[in-house]
Amino acid sequence: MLAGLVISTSSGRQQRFDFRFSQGTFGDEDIFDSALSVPGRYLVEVARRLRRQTPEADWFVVGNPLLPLRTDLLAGWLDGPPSSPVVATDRANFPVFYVLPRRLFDDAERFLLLLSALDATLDACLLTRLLGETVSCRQVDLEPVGEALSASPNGWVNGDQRLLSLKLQCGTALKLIEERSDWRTLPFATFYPMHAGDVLFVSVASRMAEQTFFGKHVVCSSYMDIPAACGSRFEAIRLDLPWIPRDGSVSELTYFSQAIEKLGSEVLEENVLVFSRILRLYYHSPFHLVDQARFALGESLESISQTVHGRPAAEQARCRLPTKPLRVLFHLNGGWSLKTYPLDKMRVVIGTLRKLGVEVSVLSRPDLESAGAVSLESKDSETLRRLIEEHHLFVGVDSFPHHFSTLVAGWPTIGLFGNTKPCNSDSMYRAGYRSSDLSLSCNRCGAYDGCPVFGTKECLNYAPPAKVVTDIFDLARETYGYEP
Amino acid sequence: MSVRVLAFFDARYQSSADVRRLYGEGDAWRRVREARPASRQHFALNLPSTLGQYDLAQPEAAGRVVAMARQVGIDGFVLDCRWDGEAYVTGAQALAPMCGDSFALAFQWRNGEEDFWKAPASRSDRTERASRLISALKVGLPILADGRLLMIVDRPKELADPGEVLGILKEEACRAGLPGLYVIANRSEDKGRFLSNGYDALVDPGPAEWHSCSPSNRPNGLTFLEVMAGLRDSVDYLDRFFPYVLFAVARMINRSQRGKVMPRVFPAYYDWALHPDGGATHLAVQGKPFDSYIYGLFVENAMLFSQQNFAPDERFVFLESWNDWLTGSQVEPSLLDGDMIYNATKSAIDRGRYVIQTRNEESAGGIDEAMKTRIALLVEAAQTLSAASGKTGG
Repeated sequence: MLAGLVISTSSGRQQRFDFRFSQGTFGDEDIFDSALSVPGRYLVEVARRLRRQTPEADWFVVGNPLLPLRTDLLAGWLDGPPSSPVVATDRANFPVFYVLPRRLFDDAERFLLLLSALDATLDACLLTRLLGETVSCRQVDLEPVGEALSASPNGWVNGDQRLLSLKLQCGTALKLIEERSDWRTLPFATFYPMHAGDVLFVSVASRMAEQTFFGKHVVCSSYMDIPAACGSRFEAIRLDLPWIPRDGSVSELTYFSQAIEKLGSEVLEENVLVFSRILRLYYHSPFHLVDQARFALGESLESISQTVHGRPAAEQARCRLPTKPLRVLFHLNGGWSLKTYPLDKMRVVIGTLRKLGVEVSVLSRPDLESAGAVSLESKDSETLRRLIEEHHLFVGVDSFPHHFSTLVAGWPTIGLFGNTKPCNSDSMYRAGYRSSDLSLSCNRCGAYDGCPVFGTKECLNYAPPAKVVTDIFDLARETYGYEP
Repeated sequence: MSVRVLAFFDARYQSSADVRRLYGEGDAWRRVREARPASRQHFALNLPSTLGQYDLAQPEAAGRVVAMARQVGIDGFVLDCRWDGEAYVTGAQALAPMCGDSFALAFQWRNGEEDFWKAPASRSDRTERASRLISALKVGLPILADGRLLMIVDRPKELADPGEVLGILKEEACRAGLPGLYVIANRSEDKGRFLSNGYDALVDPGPAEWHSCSPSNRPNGLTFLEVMAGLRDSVDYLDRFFPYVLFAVARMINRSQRGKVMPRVFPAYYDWALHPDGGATHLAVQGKPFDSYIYGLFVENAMLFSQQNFAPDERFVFLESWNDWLTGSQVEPSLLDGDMIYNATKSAIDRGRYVIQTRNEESAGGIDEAMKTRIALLVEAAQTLSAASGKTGG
């Protein structure tokens, strides 16, 4: 739920608009659901809708996007037409809604991304700087809500203290704005430095985004080759830190704080950092992660035709080698064990393909050489591209090489999905792409090391070998006219 | 065509004469209001909130029901068709005026309640009864599957001479001016028996009829003795309890081996009110009757399955239920749960429809059947070899 209310002081008219996080529809009440967006991005989006629908209004009252708020509540808490900007709070100084003048959105819309949405004093300070006039805090009759955010019904994630990164982001930006008189002209950098697939999604999004607040992208040193290989429009800022471990041993807040320290004053004095790590349950949304990144970068995405799946497919590439023997490159290792295509199934796939005269290569799986495959190593995007281009088809699990093959190289690709949702990270369904899974009711489970339903080490949602082999020959026929 | 979501609908909540004759006089809601759990392990029955305890015979009440169903993304209702001794009754007249604009009706024939169809009978007798059944289905805008009116046979195993009966029904449908009959058997798997008898497809049975996984309670002799000694709740012995997640996931496993079976999804299920003497089926998620997230995945994935596996005009997901308050499976907003299940259903259908839109089905044409068969044989051989080498430690 997202709430916005507009007030026109000349007429005294008040209008209310309730929105929801879209679940796949694009109606007037729907706002795109993007896990990579800070709360301030939703505040901007609500305000965009309000501005469009009420050109005469001069005050906007927007609920804190972290909270499930309705406009009737906001209206009840207002005490007459506003005369100055306000951050309304609960009894513990948690921001509940913001009363902001229209000119703020006209002049400094992108700086609203920096709101903490957690600390009213901090937000009031930031808004004071942005507006050049004092913004006060005013308490409304609401018990403290802060603790409840650890399990937000509105879809926000606060595990590993990641929401607290928003306060750090706000404080860092505030310092910069105080120190730099030319703060309005500083470039924005999106802080989404890992993992490889995510860096790729942001890079592809930067290329597709027609409207963006950003010009730079903070990237872990081990992934610095990815933005350029993906044709990113953003300048990459190098972060000399290893990527965050998946085991939760380092919190997002700690990592962000270490990153700020590591980036150093040279970067921090010249760029405005926006924390763009996943803040909402991304798989609760049916939208592709590239689209989720595009929204975070500034696009509104108000129709399916604007999405990755709805846009016309880009020109596709094809292998120039003779089609016989057919050469297929596999990538079977996900970032965690449950995302890896099961070993016994893979052996069957390779054995069957070999019997049908297909040459099979796998990335970084010497253990599959005994099944008849050749194991190849890819250390960077350039090598990966070369290996892909030496094969007719690419078949991969939901991981960087798969996304690179289809979204960047435009290669004939088959996506194998198990415990992740295809719609979040597949590709445009066109000649040259297809995905497979069994649509089990548990998808997506979100588990890492073992199946939470059946207790197995492998995901049962992966397509069986016969389906994978059939899809390979289908795709080979479709794209190359190949007949075995 | 996108996947259509059809919800089972209990039409008894109306004061029209034929429905009252079938279900008995009096207020149909009374049974829901007055049902009392016999155990602390039984979830209490719920009651409607937004729509109230409606009487479908009142057009404004029926209109509100259909409007809410449309809003959630449901494409039609499946109504029971029952023999009352003289005629078939559906209760569909109350809803018929509200149909149209992509909302329509289908029927589930409760054939198991009629001895007539279980026994041998002459063709003319069967034809006469079949014509009455068909005429009862000619109400309102029908849901068409493959261009034909959709009807579920509730107890396919209880039809004597199913091939002949289905043939007669289809003939009578044509004679009555219907565009034909698309008949679905209420069965979890085919094994070549049902489709060859003339059924067009199957649908997963309800939770009480198909326990798709093992129960979490496994009563034995000791359980019985403890119950008899008053040391234990009798429902531990008499009823069956299932974890909702496993129950729902197990239904979607190995579907390709079960034939052309359409998925049935449900947010919750506990039918103790229908089993006063025990034998009820209960689904639970960590002590609660439902989990809206898991249920949403169930609906969304069932829609994707249907889209991927069936012909465009035969893609259905059956939702149990719109208003079966006696089993707790209702989607309608309720007093105890508010709009939670209703909203979860809408979100899941929205997500499912969006994802389906993202998939382009057009293909230049796949490999031929001979090649598919060859692949299947090779895969089977490789799997056998792999299993054998596993057994020998090779």
